[in-house]
Amino acid sequence: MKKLLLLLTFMACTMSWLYAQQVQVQGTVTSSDDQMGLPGVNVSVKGTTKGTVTDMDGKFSLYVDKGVTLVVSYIGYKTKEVTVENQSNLALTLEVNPAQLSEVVVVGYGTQKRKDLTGAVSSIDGGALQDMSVPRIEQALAGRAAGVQISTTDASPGAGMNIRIRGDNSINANNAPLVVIDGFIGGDLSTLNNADIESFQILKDASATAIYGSRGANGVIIVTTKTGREGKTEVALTAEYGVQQLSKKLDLMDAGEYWAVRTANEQDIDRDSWEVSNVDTTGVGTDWQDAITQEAVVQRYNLRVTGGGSSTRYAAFFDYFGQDGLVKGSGYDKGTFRLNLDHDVSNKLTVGTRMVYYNASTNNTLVNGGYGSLGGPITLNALRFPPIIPVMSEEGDYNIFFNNSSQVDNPVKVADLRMKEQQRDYLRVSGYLEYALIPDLKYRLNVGYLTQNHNGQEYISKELQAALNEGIARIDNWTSSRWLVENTLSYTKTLGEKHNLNALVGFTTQLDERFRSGLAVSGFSTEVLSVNNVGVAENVLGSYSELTESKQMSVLGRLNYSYDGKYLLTMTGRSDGSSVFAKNNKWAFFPSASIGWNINEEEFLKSVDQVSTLKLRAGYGESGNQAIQPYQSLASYGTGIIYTKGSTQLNNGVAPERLSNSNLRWETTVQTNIGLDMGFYNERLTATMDLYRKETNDLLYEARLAPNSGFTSQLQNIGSIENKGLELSLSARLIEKKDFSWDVSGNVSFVRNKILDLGADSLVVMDISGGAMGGGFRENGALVVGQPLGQIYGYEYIGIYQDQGEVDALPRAGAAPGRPKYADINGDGEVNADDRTVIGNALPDFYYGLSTNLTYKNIGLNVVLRGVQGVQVANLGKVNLLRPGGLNNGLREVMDYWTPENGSNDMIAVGQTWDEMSSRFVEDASFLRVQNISLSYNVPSQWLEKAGVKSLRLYANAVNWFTFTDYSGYDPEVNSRQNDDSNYQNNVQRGIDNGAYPAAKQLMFGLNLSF
Amino acid sequence: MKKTIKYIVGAAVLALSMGVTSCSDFLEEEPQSLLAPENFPASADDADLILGGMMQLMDDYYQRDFFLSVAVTSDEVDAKYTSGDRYDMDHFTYTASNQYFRDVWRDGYKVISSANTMIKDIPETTEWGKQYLAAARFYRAMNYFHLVRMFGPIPLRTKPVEALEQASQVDKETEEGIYTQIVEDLTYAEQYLPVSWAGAIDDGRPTMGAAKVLLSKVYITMAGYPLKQTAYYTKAAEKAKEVINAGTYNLVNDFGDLFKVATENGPEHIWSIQYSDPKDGGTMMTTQSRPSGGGIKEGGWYFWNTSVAFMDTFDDMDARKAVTFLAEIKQMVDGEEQVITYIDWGGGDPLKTKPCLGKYQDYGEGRSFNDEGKRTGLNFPVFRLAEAYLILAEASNEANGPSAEAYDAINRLRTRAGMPALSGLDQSGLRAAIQQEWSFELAHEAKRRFNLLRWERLDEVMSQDEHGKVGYQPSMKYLPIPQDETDLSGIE
Repeated sequence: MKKLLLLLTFMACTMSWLYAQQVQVQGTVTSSDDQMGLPGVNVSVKGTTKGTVTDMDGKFSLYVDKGVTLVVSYIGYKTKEVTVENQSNLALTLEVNPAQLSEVVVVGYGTQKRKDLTGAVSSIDGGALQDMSVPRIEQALAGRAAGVQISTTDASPGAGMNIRIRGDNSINANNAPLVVIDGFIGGDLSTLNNADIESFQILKDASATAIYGSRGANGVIIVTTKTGREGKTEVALTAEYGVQQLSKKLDLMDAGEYWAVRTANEQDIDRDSWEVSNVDTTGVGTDWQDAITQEAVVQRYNLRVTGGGSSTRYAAFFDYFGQDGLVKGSGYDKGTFRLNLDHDVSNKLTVGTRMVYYNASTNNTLVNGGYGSLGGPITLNALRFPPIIPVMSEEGDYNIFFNNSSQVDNPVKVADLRMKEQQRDYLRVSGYLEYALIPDLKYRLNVGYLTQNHNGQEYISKELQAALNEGIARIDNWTSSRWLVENTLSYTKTLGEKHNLNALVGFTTQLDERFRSGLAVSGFSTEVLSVNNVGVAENVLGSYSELTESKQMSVLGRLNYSYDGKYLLTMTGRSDGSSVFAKNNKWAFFPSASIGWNINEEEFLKSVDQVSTLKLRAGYGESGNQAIQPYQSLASYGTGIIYTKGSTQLNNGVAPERLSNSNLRWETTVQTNIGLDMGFYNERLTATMDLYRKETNDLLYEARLAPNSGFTSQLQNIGSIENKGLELSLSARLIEKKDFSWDVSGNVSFVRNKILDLGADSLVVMDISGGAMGGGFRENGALVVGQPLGQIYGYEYIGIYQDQGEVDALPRAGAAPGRPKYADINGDGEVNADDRTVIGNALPDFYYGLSTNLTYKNIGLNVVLRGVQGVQVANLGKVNLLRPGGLNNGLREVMDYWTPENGSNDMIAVGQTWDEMSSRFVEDASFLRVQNISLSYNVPSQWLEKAGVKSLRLYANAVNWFTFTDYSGYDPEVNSRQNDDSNYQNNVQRGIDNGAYPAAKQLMFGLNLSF
Repeated sequence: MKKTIKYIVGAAVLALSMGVTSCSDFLEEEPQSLLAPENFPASADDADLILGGMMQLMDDYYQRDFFLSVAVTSDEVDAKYTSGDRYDMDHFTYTASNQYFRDVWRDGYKVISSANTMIKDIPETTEWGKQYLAAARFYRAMNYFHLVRMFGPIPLRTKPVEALEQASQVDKETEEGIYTQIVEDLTYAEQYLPVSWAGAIDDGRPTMGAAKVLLSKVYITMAGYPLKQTAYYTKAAEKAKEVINAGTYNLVNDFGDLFKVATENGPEHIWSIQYSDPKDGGTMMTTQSRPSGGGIKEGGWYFWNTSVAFMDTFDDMDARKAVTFLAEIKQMVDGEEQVITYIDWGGGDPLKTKPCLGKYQDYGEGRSFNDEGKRTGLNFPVFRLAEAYLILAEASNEANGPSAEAYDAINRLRTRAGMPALSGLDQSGLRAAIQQEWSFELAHEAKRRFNLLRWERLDEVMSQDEHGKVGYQPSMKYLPIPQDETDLSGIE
């Protein structure tokens, strides 16, 4: 209740609608080069935040006090100021600016002119994203900025995306960048929809991120949402609808082919023991890939209302997004409401709120997990299930995998009888107050509150293997809250003519609280109620609850100084104290400094008209990573251990789990960056190049402890990781004619990651498969000092043993003609576990993006391409699909199984299995993806005016329509181990395909309508 | 919530004044949902929770890692593989990186660590305290006894590790030193453990009987290789008699009842690892021991089996033969019973056409084998009364020659199995018969390797074993200390 009261107080502050004595000013803004109206021009009242933007024809209208000065500005044009007297209709012409340098960039706790920036910051204008139909905003950002790798890990509805800015810094802490939305630290990108966004700023180097101190090491994404502007209320509506389909099907054997290979292995198959009566061993049989997939509908409806009076501005957004899953049983729905209010109380005082609420619900089907006795992931099972078995029996029951021996569930049955739903409520409200103490000195208070509720429910029917004859229900709920209070003082002063000074100091506190609870039960005699009434279940399999709290306190400061617009200096520092670290190391200081030189401002270049920008930047700084869970430094017992006492199963066993570490502290990333910005021909051609080196020290690492201590590992600050990189981006406005324009922009990023030190460890071999792969596949990933993260580990496959002579020449336990042959890496004349080596890497050599816009009269075409080169994936799902003559169905290539006659070196003999992880299952997963093709048509305004419609745009978007790759699985951009709960898994278990969700392509049709 | 408001207001006030006062209180962590060593364990109930944690580790360890480490590395059990860690254990081609050796070592020391924590923190001044201290010392002794017989000289920890520096500072202790600690712990345990725990009979917590039979097994082991302190035969016999004469335990009539879910924890059982049906509390022993392929409708994962040669050493009259070996599977096909013998298992693969371990096949009544992910509630018998008779027979024969006491002990087991009583053998003749009887009675119960070791027969037997001879060397009496232990603490 108190929470609510506090919120209401904030709202009330901003809801007082005050109007002064005013006149209406109308006007038209045109461009000096073609005399055409300029849309989207900022028209604001000087000294206030009040203002509007021009419409499609360059027209605007505004209520202002008499005598005020209007500032008219637009990117690429010189800013103009006019004083409002008695004119009611202003005709303003803006002149093209020789350099596009007036652009303002949002940086941490403030703004800066792009011209004055000394750090590496990529900006993406919200308008650039409008042409894309994406369920998540990250997808629209992918490929847009150098140094920012955004990858889909799973095409399932509602699945998260993986964002890495300049590589991976950490092994055990989170590597995702900090997201700051409208000043709120730790924002959720899921709150954002295309239409909400004013701009994205991506802070990449330490001089830009050090102001975020212990949270800056992974880069920072600052998002600003659209606010209202003074003027007539504008209503805009977007509606889009489309269908997704499988981008690819795997080439599996049909019934006849399957049976031919199967009977080649085992002539005398005992069909009596089968409990499937309607097997058909001829013809095509069942296409299980079709059986589990569907054409899935995607739809979005978005309504925006923006406007404002002379002192109050508002913007409200409503959005509904719905996506059915390509795989049956999956889907995602989300409804979002956003409200941004700003109010000028006086010339000195402005207050406002930013609020967003969303409710999302995700239905998951079983992918990427549940191997072994849990019945198998639906996707992998669809590939494994024999085509000779129909989906249903003649009696109308789900068919099983021949008989009860098998633990592979019928995937259609899994889709129908396994339910997993997650609901999330998210509410973030913040209020700010900005007060000019004296003209150059501003105080800003920002208070934010975030609350989230997550409700997870799962029911596994007793007909499925995972809960056979029992039924299992799981409930996992958590609720979390965050309070954030930030105070900043900023001071701007020009001394003399040439000394520009800008200083900022701040003090912030943050408090996080989270309560999680859950229950797992089994033994449902009736399945009617399932997870909705766990009271009818017989056994409690597990239960837990946990309260965690963390607190943070910070002092920060920044100083910008520029001399004559030529020489720039930025210094920042932040001192962070956090409760999650050990008592000896609560506080840390993160400094940075950077310099810039606007060479084009020098006399010797001023006369060269072709060069509009030439800037050299250099910076050095430290930032940190504190992204670990609270209480990691304290000794504790593990709880909730399940054991059996007599015939009773109990789940409250306790065992020592963690040794205390009173020195646990932050990871610190030291980064050096050198950059060059170039612009030619009035910025029609621009290029940016950045070169950097990052070294993360004091890695938060689960250092292994000697097993005889009774402990497995301890979180320590050990070791370091290096990332070095080169980033290039280019953009060109090739054609700028009245009816025809064409622009192209592209970027490419090279990152080299290297583990420099892991304390006592030099090679850590691990299981990244997800389990249940059989003994030989249990060790398949590695951390190797001197090499990058994401190494794939195993034997080097060199073919098939052809005869006994080859076996004798290269002996190995179990070697025989027709079985796989591996290289003798250590040259000792035999093959054993010591011959395993690195056989692939899941981090790319480079990644790139390209986007282009073409407009001809009312027709627009936008194409976005994205690619990744030099990356490998361990296609582990394939291990099951390449067993000639096994019970599983498989890929058509198994029909070329080894025989003494054909001497195959790719496929083993019938009845054999692949017993070890080897390079046979490592594939090049480089790809080039046509991420978006958008074709649009703007209905001419003269046709719309009568209907009172301001603009109408019709479009069709093809999403992920083409992917060029040699990868043989569903999607080269895959990681079955992503989105696991643990940071460690997300960071080190890369490049695994084991039952992943198939990739989708979609075609969307939509319209944008505004009045 | 009240506290939240307090912090916010506090922070705002602090902020407005821009004066940073003492922030240390604000950043202090107050864990509210953690059990920390400062306040735990403080009562009998707390101690029970730690015992639960130890029981889980033992549950886990017995159903796979331990069985692979000591049964597959004997002549009684064969792994059904052509390569990999399990193949290597069966064929003695393993390295120190073998994952099962690693796990069995790690879990053993984890139980010891829990036991050490209890021993340090539980007050000895109370009656409940003594009982739980005794339980902890039983677990510690049990695990050292397993570890010393698997690995030989090993680190001896009798205090919990509480700081990082202590974790890697360790040396190996001799076998003798380890046994001294084991005997000390068990002497305490047999004194203070209850005959049965109040309110719960046979719930898996260690009892006085368990401590006594373990101690008698420890004594007979100390009398053999490597310590060869033959004076302990007498002590072993005395301790075994205490168990037998206590009247707490009795041999069951039907040998098959010992390996059924319905009759488990019966009169003969002294101490068993407890499993219950629901998946997380169940055991994988059954499915790992169950054949598959060749038309078996309810097939298992089939990790291991046994040899026809071993089966043939059993007399057909011996009631234990049919229980010990699973040589056929009966199933219903279209309403008719179908019998599939081991010759047809696995579709003709020679590795699979062998009898399976019959003692781990029962999955209980009123359920299907496939329920619970093929896990079952079948307990693992660690000690049953029959072993006390075998210890008595062997120790008595070693100490006093073929005595009436020795004959009486062994013949009780033979009579129960429908076999003729033994008589008229000399000491070495009776020794051979008793050694053979260990296999008839306790086949596949993870006794064989340790018996061969203390009888100094491991070299002779394993170098002739069909699978073992592939890689067996006399230097392989002990398993290798796991590689990660060597890497991290330097002991080899």
